[in-house]
Amino acid sequence: MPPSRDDLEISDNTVLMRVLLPKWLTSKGGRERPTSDSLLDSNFENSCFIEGEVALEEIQRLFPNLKIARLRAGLFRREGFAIERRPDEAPPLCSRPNSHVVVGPQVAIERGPYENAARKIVKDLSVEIVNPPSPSSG
Amino acid sequence: MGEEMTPLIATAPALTPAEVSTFYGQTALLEKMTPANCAPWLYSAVAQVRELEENGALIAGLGDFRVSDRTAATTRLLLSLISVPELPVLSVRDLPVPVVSPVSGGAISLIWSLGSKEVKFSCYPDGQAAFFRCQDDDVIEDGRIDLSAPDSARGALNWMMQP
Repeated sequence: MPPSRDDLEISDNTVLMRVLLPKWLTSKGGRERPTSDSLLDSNFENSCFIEGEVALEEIQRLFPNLKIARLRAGLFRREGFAIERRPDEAPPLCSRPNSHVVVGPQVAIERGPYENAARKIVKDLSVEIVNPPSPSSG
Repeated sequence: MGEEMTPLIATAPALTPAEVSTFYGQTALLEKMTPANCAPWLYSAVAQVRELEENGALIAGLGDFRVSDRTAATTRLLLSLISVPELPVLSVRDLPVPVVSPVSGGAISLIWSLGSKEVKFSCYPDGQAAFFRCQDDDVIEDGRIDLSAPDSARGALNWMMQP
């Protein structure tokens, strides 16, 4: 289900972490960034985690060998997305289920505008990619 | 002289009969999907779709793309879009190799990139398909793909191949 509300206590400067499948990465202009597919969903909801409420290292342990995108909450809102806490949908082993949110438009929108919004979010220059820790770093 | 030649029959076969049978089975499958004179990019696209169909791309705990009846329907839709000889998408032969990408919720995207141009086909679990024509990372046109009249899809690909 799309987010039913926008949890405004999550400030625009809060960083959300989105786990990325390998095919959700692309290089444009010499810069690696997530693809728009990483922020699209048939049900208009994508899972993210709030940085600072759960440690990056824990997310890396839950999703080993995957890169993680860091995106400011304000980027989502700028494109009309809402951010809703969904602790009951957090992964079972997550120690901070309340850090789990879903992002997406609050009402179902046409696929063209949805693609456009996701693309504008992921290509923002503030979006960062975090590599998984190397095996030797323990 | 003859006794120093490598024998034609190897003593230790590289593949077991079962493996050979599997290999030929897959080849036959690809051949069914791709006519001999089809676009070279199609082999890679079909292989990527098959891999996704068989293994999924689940991020455990997040409920993203997983193997299911729903997935199978989407992959069938994508294969029908790119592989049926009657569809003129196949007539655009010189495309780069596309990336087949899963999308959360069971959709699949097929993305061709060439310089500043990008064309994306997306197939959805509800049986619909859409195309997105992008330049310099902006969507400049999008629309539904009608499988019974796929000229819109071919138009986007032709645009990408123009200098």
